[in-house]
Amino acid sequence: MSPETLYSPDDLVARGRQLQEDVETVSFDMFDTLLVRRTHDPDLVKLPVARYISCLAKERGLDWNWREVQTLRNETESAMRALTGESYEDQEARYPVFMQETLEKIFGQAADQELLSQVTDYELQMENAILVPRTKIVEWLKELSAAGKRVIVISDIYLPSEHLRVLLQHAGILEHIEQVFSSADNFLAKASGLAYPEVAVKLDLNAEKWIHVGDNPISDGFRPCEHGIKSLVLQDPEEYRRKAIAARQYFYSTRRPFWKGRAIQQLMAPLEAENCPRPPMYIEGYNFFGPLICMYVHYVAERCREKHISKVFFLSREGWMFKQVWEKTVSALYPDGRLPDIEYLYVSRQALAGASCAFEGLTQEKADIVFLPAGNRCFRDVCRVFGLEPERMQPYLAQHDLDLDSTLSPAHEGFSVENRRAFELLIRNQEFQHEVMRQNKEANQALQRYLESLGFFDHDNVALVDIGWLGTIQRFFHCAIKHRTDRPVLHGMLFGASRGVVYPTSPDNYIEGFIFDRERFDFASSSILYARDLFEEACRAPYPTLNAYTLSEDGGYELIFREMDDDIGKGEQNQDSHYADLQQAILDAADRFAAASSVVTQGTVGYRPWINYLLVSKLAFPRLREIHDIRHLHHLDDFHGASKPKKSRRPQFLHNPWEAQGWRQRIACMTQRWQFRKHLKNMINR
Amino acid sequence: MGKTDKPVLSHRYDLAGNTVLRLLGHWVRMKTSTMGNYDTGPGLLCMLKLGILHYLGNPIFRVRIWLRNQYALKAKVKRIVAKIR
Repeated sequence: MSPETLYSPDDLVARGRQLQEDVETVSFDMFDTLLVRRTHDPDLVKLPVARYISCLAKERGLDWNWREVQTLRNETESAMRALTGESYEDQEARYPVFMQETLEKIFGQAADQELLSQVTDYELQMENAILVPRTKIVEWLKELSAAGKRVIVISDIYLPSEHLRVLLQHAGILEHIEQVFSSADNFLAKASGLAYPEVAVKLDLNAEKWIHVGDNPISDGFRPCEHGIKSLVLQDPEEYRRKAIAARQYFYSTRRPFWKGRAIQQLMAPLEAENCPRPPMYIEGYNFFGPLICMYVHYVAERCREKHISKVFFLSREGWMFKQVWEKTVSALYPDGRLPDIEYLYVSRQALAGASCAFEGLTQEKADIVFLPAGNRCFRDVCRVFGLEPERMQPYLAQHDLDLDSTLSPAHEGFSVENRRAFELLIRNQEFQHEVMRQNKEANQALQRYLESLGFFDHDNVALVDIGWLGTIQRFFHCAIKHRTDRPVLHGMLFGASRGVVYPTSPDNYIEGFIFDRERFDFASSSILYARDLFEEACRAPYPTLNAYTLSEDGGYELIFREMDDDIGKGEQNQDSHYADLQQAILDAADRFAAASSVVTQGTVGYRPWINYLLVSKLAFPRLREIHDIRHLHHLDDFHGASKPKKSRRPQFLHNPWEAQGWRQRIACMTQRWQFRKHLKNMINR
Repeated sequence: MGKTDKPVLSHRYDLAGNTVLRLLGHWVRMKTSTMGNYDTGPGLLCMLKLGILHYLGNPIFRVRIWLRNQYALKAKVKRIVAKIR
């Protein structure tokens, strides 16, 4: 008898179905047959485990780097294999034994059963993250089980059968399997063929009514045939190709940092049943937004560990997505558990602007921020943004020959230098400032009560995580609490910091951008400025923005959210459903990011070149179809007023493809290189 | 399923919407004008090798499997002949 070789899972299952009528038992090889690994090399899982053990050792004051741990593990495993080879034909190893021995060499007496189970759990967690059930074969296995056939799994591996059961349970197929055998249990392996008679005796199987299915021509092919068992061997060129691609990318990533991000994306890509057809929005969410956001969250976690930050506040509404990605990725990236607590914080520029004026009044700097968006024109816009009552402000305006509708923004018709000077004098008017502070006292008190309820002031160092761009939220937030002596140091970690206005950096209050920071000279990552709103909408929580903090009747605080029944609110709801697939894709990508990143790299050091490539190729040089697929429908800016600025006299020839419409957009897509050159000039001039 | 729906990982095991060909196109742009910092960059040879695997991987591995099976068969025949002798 000789093994039968099949060249695709479809052929294998078809042949198996022809044979199954006459057999009682079907045994499967586990790895590369029932389950495939996302990685090309099974040993890559050992690297994050070595890093974990190294972290545990450092916590106990032992100086072991992860490479030393890995070498020690390999040596201990090899020694055990050599020892087994003296008594058995197969040189097999057993994970609990050699891992316990490895841990004893590192931790000495402290290497107890608890430590071993901690390490084992992490190794199995990593294995689970990179194993994917092979759809066609698993479907056939379930059919066999339903038809009353005896289904067993036989594997040559260092993990004992109880660990294999955990992996099969996670894959959702354990209930269909009668028994799991591993060479680590009794050191009788398929490679020598000794496993087959052992299994036959244990389960009282008839070799003539038994098929074995696997991928190794020797241990799954010739060896069962030697014992009279029919064998089907799968040699799938598509699987070889997938692994060869993953292997190449991993190999390149060890030599060229550019490939690190690409290798991570290859390993986190969905496989088999996960990889079903998806709408374009989902694809962009998975392949573009997902990796960027996951890498950013990884950076936040890394910085928090470096700076001993005890709590991370994710600022609404974009922090909603960042928090979910944190929950899905960070515990796997840092299994030693040395991580800060996290909390979602309801804030908005609109709500904080008023609260920030309660102690220092309306400074010139803050007032100027109002006129950055071209939609704001006059003092009415200042009142709207800072929650001031326009009628009560009129007497102070009149003192400086201004009224509520005097144009104060140079972007609008009617602006004059006199108005601007009068506005500056108004800001210096002490009576005006007292009125501003009086009107905002309540909002500030409510904010402080809200923060106290979250234990905000119990920490020395907190991180504020937000999308960016100017850092206005953190600027207002700091102004609102800086009078308190128990305020923590604010570490602002932004997705992108465009710094349109100089941020008042101090040792206890600063911002830094990860994907883009204007203070860091980086042409490529500045491409994010092409489509900032796209990222805001991709991360935004599907509920209304916060309008204000007020005191409640019982002396507590109340959060007042924006009503959603007007046109803008309905537009935002439309946008929520438009981006539902994209947001789901980001969360799905986050599920697989941690394991992929742990295998390819340590920390965030190698991410930069790939992030730059993604940004430039997708934002500065997009395809027209991509713009149509992923551009947002609506974007609400709580700061932006409704006034229309005057038109520029100079005709504009180059347009941002993400903002242009119709024929202008087509031309913009054809002149991307010129547009990008113009963008770079702007970056240098600023 | 919509008309434009496709898998995230294409049948060539390349990322949908960000293929090796797009990367190659971007590499040409990188070489001809300022694009920013890409550290080492992707490297032409790396991209070409990956391109071959993505686009011609299936026939290459089919042939490789066939050749390996031929060698195995030859080795088996040789062993049998050696035993008979």
